[in-house]
Amino acid sequence: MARVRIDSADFDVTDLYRELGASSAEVGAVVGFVGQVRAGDAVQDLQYLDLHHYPGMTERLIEDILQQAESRWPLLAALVYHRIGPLQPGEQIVFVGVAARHRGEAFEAASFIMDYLKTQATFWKREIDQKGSTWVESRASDLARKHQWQGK
Amino acid sequence: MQILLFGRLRDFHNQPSLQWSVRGEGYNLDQLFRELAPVHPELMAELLKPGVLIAVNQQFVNRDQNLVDSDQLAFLPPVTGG
Repeated sequence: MARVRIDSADFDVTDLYRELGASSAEVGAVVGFVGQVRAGDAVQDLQYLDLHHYPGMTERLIEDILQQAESRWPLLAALVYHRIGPLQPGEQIVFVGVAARHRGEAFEAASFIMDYLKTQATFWKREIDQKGSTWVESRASDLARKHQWQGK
Repeated sequence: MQILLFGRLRDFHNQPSLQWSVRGEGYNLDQLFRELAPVHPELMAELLKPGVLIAVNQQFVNRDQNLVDSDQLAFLPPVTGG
């Protein structure tokens, strides 16, 4: 299976974790991050989020991010699963996972991939409540997190 | 040429894409903007806001990019995935 997956279907963290752990006999550390839908940022009573992306470009941009991570840390496997479509509060949105020999590179690479994905991958989300919908604004704090990696 | 709109830009046009004919050699983004402005003034104002990136055939480009009719042009406001 491709290591960049974009799908409206939900994912099973256990399956993704097992896949990373089984990627090589040398794996000694697997780090996984799951993002999920929280109560609305822009609206009071969030009913659901609606996510769309730029098919083709998104996959390529995420693949670029994974390659950048692999050039910084000795990874054995990396995987991104991002959901699209309508998503209700509490649902999983994104999984970022890496496998490496040791935990240090696994923790750092997972954080790097997530920070870059937030600011570079071509996804957009709307929050929908009873009154209508509001586009989610990008956050300066996400950009700041990405910029931290550029000096390292 | 197909023009794709993403994120909040979709609020300023009733479809997520529009067709635009590219006429002549040396047609570029500036020319497109001059033609779009009187037809879609609200959308045009959004396209020029800071942070809106431009891609041609899924590669990021600058404002001086030349365009041909077979291109796929995309306007990408700041992303909000994850």
